[in-house]
Amino acid sequence: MTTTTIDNMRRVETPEGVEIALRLAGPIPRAWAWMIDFVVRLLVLGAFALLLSIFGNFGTGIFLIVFFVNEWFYPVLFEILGKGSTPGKKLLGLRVLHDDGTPVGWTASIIRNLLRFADLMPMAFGAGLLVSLCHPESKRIGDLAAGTVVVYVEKPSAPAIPAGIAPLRPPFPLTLDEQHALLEFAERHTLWGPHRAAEIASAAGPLVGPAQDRVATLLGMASFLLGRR
Amino acid sequence: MSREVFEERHDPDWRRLENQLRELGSGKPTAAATENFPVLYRRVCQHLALARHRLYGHDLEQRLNALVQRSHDLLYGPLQPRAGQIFELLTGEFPRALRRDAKVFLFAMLLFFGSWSVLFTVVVVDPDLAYTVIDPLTADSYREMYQPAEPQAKAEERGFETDTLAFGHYIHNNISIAFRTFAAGVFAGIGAIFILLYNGVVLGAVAGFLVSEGLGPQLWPFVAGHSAPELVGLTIAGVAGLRLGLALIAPGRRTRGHALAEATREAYPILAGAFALVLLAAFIEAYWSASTLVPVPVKLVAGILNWVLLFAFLAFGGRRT
Repeated sequence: MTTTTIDNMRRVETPEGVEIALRLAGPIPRAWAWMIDFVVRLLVLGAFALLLSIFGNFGTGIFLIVFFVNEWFYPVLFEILGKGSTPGKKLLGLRVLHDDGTPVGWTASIIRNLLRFADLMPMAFGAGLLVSLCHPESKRIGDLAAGTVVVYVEKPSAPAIPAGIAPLRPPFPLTLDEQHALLEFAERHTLWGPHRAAEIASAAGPLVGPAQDRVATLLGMASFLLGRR
Repeated sequence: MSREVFEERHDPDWRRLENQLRELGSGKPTAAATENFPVLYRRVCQHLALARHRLYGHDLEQRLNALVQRSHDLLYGPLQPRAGQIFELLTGEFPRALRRDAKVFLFAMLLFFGSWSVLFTVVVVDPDLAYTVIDPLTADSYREMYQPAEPQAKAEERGFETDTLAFGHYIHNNISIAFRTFAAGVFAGIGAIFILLYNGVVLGAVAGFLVSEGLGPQLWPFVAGHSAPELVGLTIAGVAGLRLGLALIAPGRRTRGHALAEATREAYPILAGAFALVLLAAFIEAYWSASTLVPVPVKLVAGILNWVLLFAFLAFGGRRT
């Protein structure tokens, strides 16, 4: 069972009954990854052209085979051997997974990369862009047919709430949703300017009351919720 | 339980799993170091669920999520395909899948060989009509290509090197066409239909043109050997593409997305078979069809034999007795 949430997280339930959170990648980073791969492929072709040019007709024949493999199977080989990432995807921190969160296999990878031709229609990835913009999980046609998603490789993040903040007991018990909102606020408050953070903090109403520094009050309560005493 | 206590209590488990993941990923895991990996993995799954439920914070959740995902990758990742599997795919699943879609196959054959026959007949009857399909320059180059040459000169001209050049060209050109036919089928089948018709029309016209020019004795021995796998292979790639298109036109009691994914799974052996056939055709065309060492009657008989063998394989291959 899978669900996609408003912040583009795809939650996949594993056979162990726990959910893995995957952050879906949109068309723009994927287009960048494709362009990097395009350059890599050109370089590979250039290297082979130089190498094989000394073998005359035989070399040209082999070069055409290399050209063919490079055109259709470059992404397949890298996705299988590179844990779901071509060099371009690796640079952008992306990888390809099956819909159920397992690493992409041969069948799905071949399908999604052969259908890239359909995504390229009528020109410059027109069909692929249109489909992925309309799809909640940014799938292009190849992803739809192969049952794959492109997600970000998550990097470990530092604890968002600094250890030095004095814990503060909330004035009344909070529901789970409210606790969640409070922790999310604490984790994200550095992403906004101080004024915006204060503005959002004042939405907490009775929780902060007439406190002078609402942001600090909320951070203290978040720290309390994390179990610091 | 506070987060600190939770972390303190379970951190050894997480570190142990991390070490095991490193060990297993290195390719040469020792039995001792990887003991109880699934047990440990399931335990960390539970920790992740707890950490989420108890709101222990995003960073911890993310750390456990990454651990779980890496273990999940390892447990459920793709296996290297074994030679036996590929053999079974091509000789068992492929003909079975094609027979299941016999109607689509007939339709694709009708498109390709129907248009081929019509254009061939029309051009043989009225050779000038060839120029409605192929431009005079291309026609000239075809005429040039099939001119009867001095046997001596031709044998010198073609060697292993030239054959390999031709092989590369056929791989690059013909298999790409087959792949495009498959992919274009996803647009409600229209792309696949177009490519099948287009190739039938052009190839029919060229064959008709060469025959009307009296070059049949050069044409038939050349194309005989590879014609069956190449033309039928292209048609079969069209079948795989049409299956995708059909799923979008008539998804049945499923969403179009589900129908497409399911049709793709079913069409995969057909696509693999088409790939193998066109690859085989490229090999025959490069190293056999152009050979001047093989006498013409042998080439013609072998060509006919290929057609018979191919259809016998498609009809009876992969049946369990």
